[in-house]
Amino acid sequence: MTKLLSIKNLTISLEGRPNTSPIVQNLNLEVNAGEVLGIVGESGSGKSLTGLSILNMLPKGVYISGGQILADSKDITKSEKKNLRAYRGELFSIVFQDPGAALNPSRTIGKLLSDVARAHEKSSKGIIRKKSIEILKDVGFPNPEERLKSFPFQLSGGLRQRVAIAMALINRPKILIADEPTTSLDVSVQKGILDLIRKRTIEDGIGCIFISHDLGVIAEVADRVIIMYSGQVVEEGPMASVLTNPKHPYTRGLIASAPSMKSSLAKPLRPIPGSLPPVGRTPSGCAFQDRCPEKALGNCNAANPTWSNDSSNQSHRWLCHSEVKK
Amino acid sequence: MRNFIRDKTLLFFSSLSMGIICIVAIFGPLFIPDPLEQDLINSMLPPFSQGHILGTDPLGRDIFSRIVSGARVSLIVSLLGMIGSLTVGTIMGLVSGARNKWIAWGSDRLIDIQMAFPYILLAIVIVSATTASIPVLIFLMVLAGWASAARVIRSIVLSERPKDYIKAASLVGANQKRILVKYIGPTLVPAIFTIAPLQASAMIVMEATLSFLGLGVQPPTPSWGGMLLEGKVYLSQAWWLTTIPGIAIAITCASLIGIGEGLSIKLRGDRRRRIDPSKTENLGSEGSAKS
Amino acid sequence: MKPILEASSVKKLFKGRGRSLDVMALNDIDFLIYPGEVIGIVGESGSGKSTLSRILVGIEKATEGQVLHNGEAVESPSDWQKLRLDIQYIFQDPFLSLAPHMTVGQSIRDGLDIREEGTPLERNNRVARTLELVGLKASDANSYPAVFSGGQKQRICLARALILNPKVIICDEIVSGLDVSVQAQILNLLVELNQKNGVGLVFVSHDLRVVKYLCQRIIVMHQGLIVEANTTEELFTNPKHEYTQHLLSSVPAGLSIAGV
Repeated sequence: MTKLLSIKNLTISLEGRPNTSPIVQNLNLEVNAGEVLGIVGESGSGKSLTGLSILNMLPKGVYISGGQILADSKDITKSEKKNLRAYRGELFSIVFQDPGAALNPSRTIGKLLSDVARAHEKSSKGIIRKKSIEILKDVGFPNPEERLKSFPFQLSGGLRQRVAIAMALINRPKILIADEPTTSLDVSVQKGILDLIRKRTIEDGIGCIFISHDLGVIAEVADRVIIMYSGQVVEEGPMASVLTNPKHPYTRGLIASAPSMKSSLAKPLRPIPGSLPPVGRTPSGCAFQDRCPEKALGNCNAANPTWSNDSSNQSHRWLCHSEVKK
Repeated sequence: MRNFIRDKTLLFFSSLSMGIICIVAIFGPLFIPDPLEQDLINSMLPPFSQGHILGTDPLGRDIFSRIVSGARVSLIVSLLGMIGSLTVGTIMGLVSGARNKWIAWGSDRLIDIQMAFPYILLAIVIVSATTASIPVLIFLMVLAGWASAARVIRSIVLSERPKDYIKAASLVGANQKRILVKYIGPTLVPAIFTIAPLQASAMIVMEATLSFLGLGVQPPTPSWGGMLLEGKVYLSQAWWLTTIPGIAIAITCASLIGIGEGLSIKLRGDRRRRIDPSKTENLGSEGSAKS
Repeated sequence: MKPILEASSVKKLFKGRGRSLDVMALNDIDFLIYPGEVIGIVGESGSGKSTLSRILVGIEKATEGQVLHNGEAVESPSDWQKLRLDIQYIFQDPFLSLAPHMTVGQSIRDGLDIREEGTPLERNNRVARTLELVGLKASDANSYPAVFSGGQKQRICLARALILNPKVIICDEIVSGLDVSVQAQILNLLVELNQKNGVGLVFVSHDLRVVKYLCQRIIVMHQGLIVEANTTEELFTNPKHEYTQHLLSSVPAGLSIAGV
């Protein structure tokens, strides 16, 4: 398993607001070739910012205040601006929620792809055209040779997202970040895109980070998952293990409150009481303490919780004070 | 930070300047020598002459006093004109936003006609039919100004109307009148406050123009436009007779426009949603599916 | 028992402007709901489900066909006013459906003010109680919508509908943009309203999982037509129409193995 990306102790803070807690705290994650890592979290969890920070695309007012992002044996956080441009596209690539926003409506599909390709490599028109057709075929785009001349508005949402993915993959990046790529698509279209992302990840040996608020979607597509709450990772591990055996109270709360194909009123949804801590005001100690129905031994706000590992699966671990083996 | 200063500066200085003009207009006439007093011996004195800081006109009247009393006249007339214009404009703008297609159409056409018609021509016609006097002047200003106010109001009404909260209002039973008054009405207030100074400045110019043409304030009542008219023939010999009232008009207009612009920048800034990291809905993506 | 709300042979045509084609958003739809039922309308984009929900409450006008209230055709504005005494509607986007310049209390109260129910003091009390019913604080009545989160705004809209004691509430994708835990709170609130207070619900959504949880009957819409209608259980275990089967197979099912 080649490790493509390693983030260590990443901390993202708000600029100029010294009394607020960081928006992302001490995040660690790794992505290997050919695997999809899912990041699940609700709003305010910091999941999108984590993705953006890898590409150094954090919005104004937010910055990386600590930690390292290691890829291709370099620390991205320490890179100079000019190298970052090269990384984006060749090393990393991103697909966003709204396919319409990524595609310039005044340019044809062919031009959009060649724009991206040419930003990183000067090739002849013919080679780029071949590359474009090939990548469109790879993403399951029907009739690519003819459709190169189409404009985004002529395509459906699903096709537009495929083009966006093609644009992200045309320069064969090592790491693909997908930030809620299917959230604004119809359910039947979503399935196709999820299958596509899995297929390309495995076949091209990419490391994919798939960010979503929908645990059900992540369950379909991810090999491993990290669960984020209020800027911290609270549980992580292989997808099946975390799903069948969730350990952290938040993960359990997420699963209990999410309707699934097996839901019915006979088994009511159990929402997590309370609401998320406002951004920048994560409580000290355990971030989840105010809402935890399984409050542990009074330690919750005194000290930071520590990692426990699942006895049956060492890579599945969670952050909690409670020593009761669940 | 830079934006903050720029927004506030315009509003601040314009308000300051307009404030000074208003104070001068209100209290000034109490402290100055009679603007009507003629003094043929001391006529045509340039600015900075003894006893006449801005000089005198061909009849020896003190320019400074005339500017100050003219200010009062111009400002009051313009203020009344602005209020009238905004009132008629708001009403017509609301009418143009009416549900009934024909009423709205009729109102729109009225607005179009009025905007297309050259107001000076209209002024000449009306003044010849009646007389040149201050009430007629105010009437002309309202006539000339209501349409542009109506257009602004109309566009706000039309853009608010299809919004969900208006539909929600009719769902709980609100009738058209209630919707216009209680739901759409308050959204018009910021716009009215922004157009008001701009209308006022247009009125100042209008008053000056009409008085200059002899259709507005009649002599001997001092008015800036009237002073322009009187000084016109002496342009090469006594520049101050026209330049000084001209400057007064320009400064007043600029101040009023500055207030209008400053207010609209301030309002736009409040509504502009800057990325506030403490509101996570603005960051990255939150699960929001299509409709 | 008569259906409390019904759509009969409803068609809706959106005329294309310029070179765009006409769109037949609804093609001969029949729909009905009895008092106390919870019905789900499921479909993807372009199915016409939102258009139907708007026509049912009169925000949109059908090109052909009728809406019936207690068996009687709704035609004049006063008919619609009567219908809206029984049927209320909640919009998808809570940001846009609350007047930004009115306090929460004013928005909720306006329906009562219009109907002149009780004294102003009584109306304020009802506002306070309804806010508490939906899980907010009575003091929230004095705040403006802007300070609330999406989930809270949606509760405010629910309160605004509830305070008029409707018999049916039409919910048009009301939880689609909300976090899962917030969504669950609102869904449970709806369940309670139906089971304790007998309020009927028409729940429009693209999310089959939510509809399965909440609804007793489901109709599936696709490109302006109802392709299948059945009880929830039957629909999920025995989908008859090809589109329904396709839809069901596309729903992310990963959570089904979850161990909670």
